[in-house]
Amino acid sequence: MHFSEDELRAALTREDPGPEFIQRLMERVNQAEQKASAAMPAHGWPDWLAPLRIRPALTGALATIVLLAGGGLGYMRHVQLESQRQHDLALAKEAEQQAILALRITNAKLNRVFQRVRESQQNEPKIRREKL
Amino acid sequence: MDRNRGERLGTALELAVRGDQVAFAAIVEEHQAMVFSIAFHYLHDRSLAEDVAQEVFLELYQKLATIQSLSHLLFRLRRVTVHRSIDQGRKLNHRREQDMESIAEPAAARAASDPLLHDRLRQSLRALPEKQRMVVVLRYQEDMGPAEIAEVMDMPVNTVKSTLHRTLEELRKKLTRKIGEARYAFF
Repeated sequence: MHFSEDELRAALTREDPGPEFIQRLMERVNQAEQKASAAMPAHGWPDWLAPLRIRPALTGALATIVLLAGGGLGYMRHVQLESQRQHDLALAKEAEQQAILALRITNAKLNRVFQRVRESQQNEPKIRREKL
Repeated sequence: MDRNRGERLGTALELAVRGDQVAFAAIVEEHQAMVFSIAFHYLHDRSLAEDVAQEVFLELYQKLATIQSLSHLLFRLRRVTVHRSIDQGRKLNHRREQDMESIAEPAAARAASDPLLHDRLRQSLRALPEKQRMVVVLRYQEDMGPAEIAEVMDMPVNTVKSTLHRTLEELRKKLTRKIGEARYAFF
């Protein structure tokens, strides 16, 4: 039996699902919305953080990055402080050595002065006798 | 689609994306016959077709933010409807094994030039393999070209063309056989 393409078109014309279709659909839409809002925690996440809530892997990756970055910065700060402390310690040691050297020089000078004074005191009666 | 209707739908789409349910209902109203009919002509079951249509629109509502334009909306609706209908048809595959005559036709009224021929055509269509059936539905219900069908169904264009050609031949043979059987039974 022959049939034309137009007859096939006529056999497959669009049909309406019925007047209550949209009403039933909107009920399901509302139910889905309510279910979605009930699934949200009471405190809720701010809108800008919502993508993190629905993507745990992304949240984990971001948390790891933040922790690594924080750890890295902390370690760098620690290294910087330690190097500053070592530098200060070296300066202090150098100052100590210089102070010790200065004291030694002073000590040697004073010893020589005392020695001169003592020598002059020992020689003084001899000179006085010679004068007399 | 005339210009006013296009503008109205474009506005409705923008509002619906922002969460306006009335605008979403307007979009549904515009496309419900298309979505429902693709599923219905494929599945030949009114209530299953309505379930599929509801699922399609529910999914659309949840993914409205990804829709970029009216043509994208139409493509998306057709594509999701096609794949959901095929999935639903696979779930109920055993039903197709039933005698075609024993399945009641939908009670919807149709304006047709030859109701008997149209009923026979629909019954013959129902016995076709899934891809062939869907290609015919998209071609003759939606007036889609082979390239559009290929895009929606993820098939090469040449396969769509050859499928259409082969399916029409099969439909003609099936219909001839049926009419012959009817005549034999009658006389």
